[in-house]
Parts: sequence; C-alpha cells; structure tokens
Amino acid sequence: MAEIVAVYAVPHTPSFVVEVQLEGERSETAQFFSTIRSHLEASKPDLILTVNNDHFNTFFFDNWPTYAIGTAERTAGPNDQTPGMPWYELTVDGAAARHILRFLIEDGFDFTSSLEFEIDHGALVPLHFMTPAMELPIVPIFINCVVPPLPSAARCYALGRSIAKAIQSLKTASRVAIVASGSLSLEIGGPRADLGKTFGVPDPAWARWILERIQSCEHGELIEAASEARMLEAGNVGGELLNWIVTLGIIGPSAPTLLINQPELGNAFAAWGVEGEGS
Amino acid sequence: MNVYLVHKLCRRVLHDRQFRKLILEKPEAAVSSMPFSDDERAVLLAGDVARLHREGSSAFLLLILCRFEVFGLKLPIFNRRMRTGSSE
Repeated sequence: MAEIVAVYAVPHTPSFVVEVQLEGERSETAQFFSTIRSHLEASKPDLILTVNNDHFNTFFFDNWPTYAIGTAERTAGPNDQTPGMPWYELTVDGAAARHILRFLIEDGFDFTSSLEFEIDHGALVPLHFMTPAMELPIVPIFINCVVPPLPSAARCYALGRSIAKAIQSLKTASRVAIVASGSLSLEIGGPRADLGKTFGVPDPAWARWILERIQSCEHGELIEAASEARMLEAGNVGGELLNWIVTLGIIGPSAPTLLINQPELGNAFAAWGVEGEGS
Repeated sequence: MNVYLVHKLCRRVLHDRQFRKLILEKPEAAVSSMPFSDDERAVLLAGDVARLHREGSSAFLLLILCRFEVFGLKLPIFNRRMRTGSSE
C-alpha cells in the first residue's frame, strides 16, 4: 500500500523561470521554492502526482475535459514555450495512472484520460524548481479551472478525498508526493490587469481570506464561499483555487506545516508533511 | 462573432510557427486563410482586442497576440485597450 508522504500547493507563474535566472538567490521566488524543494527532498517520494489546470495547450475547446489524467508512459514540455525553461522529458507512471483512473471512475468521477499529451507551465513550473533533474515519475491530473462551467468546489474537494484513497490502494509506488499549483487571485491579460502589465491581482483580500481558512482548517467555509462567480471575481484565472481545493481534499483537515504568502502576485506556497514526514 | 475561431487563431500563433511567421509578415493573408467574416477580419486586423474580449474571446488567449506583437499589439497598446474597453 502506498502512502502520501507530502503535499504541496504552489504557484505556477511562468515568468518565475526567467525571474530566478536573472535575480538568482536574491529572488523571493527562488527562496520560497528552495524551502519547498528541501521539504520535498526530505520526504523522499518515489512518485509525484501533479494537480493543475491546462492553459489551452494540452487541451483545447474542441475537446475540453473537466477532469483528466495522463496515462501514457512518457510526456514532455513545456508545450507553451515557457520563457527560459528547458525542454523536459518526463516519465509517467502509466500503471499507477491507470490504477488511479479506474479507482476514480469506480468512485463516481467520470475522468477523461489521454495516452498522448505534452504538458505546459501549469505542471512544469513547480517541477522545474522542485525536481529539476526530473528523475521522479509523475501522474498528471488536470482540473478545469479556466473554462466555465467550472466543476464545483465541493466536487473538487470530494475528488481530492477519492484521489487520496486511490493512492493508498496503489501497489506500484510506495511514497507519493502531491504537487498542486495555481493562483488564488489573478487576472491574466484582462481588463483588471495592472497598468502596463500582463497581469493583475484583483482581490488580495480574498486570497488572504482563503489562506486563513486553510490555516485554520475551515475547509467547509471555504468550499461554501468558492462559487464559480466568486472565484472569477478574483480574476479570470481565479478558478485555479480549485487545484488547491482538490489538494485540501487529499490532505483532509490538517493545517499546513509551511504556509508562505506572496500577496503581490496573488500566490502562496503551502506544504504538508504527513505523519511527521518531511516537516 | 465566431469566438471559437478567434481562439483558434490565437492558439495557432503560439503553436504553429509557420502561421506565426505569416501573421507577423502578412497579417491580412494569415487572417484570410481562416473562415472569418468581413467584420471579424476587420476587427482582428485593427487589433481591437477590447471588442474581441467584449464579445466573448478569452483574455488569456488574446494575450498571445500581445506576446508576439501580432496586429501591432505591443503591451502598452494591448493593456490600454483591455483596461479601457476602447479601440484607441
């Protein structure tokens, strides 16, 4: 039986790659990811399950899934030309992915699966900083956070609970880390972008309120508040909160061992060590 | 407005290098290679992202036009049009 040894929820801001290349260790982002990377390394996982949204690169409107899982043996990316990021080839644990897919379907989550796909910055920015050697196999899960109608927060939380059970029933990996990513308040390119910038943070108070609910394990209150309309009030990619909510479902009512706010970017970094591991 | 087709054009700019080269060198030819109406073609070639967004196009995908400065959409222009909702 496999165990979840660590859980992370972090940003996947594509400009981080160049920012860290230019600023080095002085970069706040480099410091935050360094802390998260140390936590991950101490957790000694042998499989990483990623939870994030695609940005019209892996999937498109001709075939847009609400929930999807990659069941191939290999993948690669970034398929969106993330500035500064090298091209990565990654191993997918196809057997684990197929087991999780079957478990989730039997548990009532009607997933799409893909046997041929590449991944964009949503999955790769966190891995670029956390496991740059890309030596660990992944199982990629995609959540629709950007194309209404979005799945409900309650459904995403329940999905997280089911993913946790699916992982615990795995025979092919023993130590699993979850790496989820997304912003809490963010507008990309839209009318609420800051003057002269490609992005804005329309609702930092909402982001702060979310982190307070996470810190105090008030998941029910967060799920109730996180309607599609409320999330999109916080920016046109404010639905990325759903990736965090899946993560909260996986970890259950447990306060993070590490929680770093990055309010100027509508971001945060969180880590949970399970049963004393990696904390 | 055929929003799906606008989205396809934006995605092609990012993912199809030959199409990107064409749209930067000959924007009218690139837009004419897709089945847009006369009005849609005019809006695209004018870089009127405010109207495209108002009529349902994704700001996230429209930003690809700015990333590659298609239709003269340098960041200050793109940003001003999106923020003000005007074509100026």
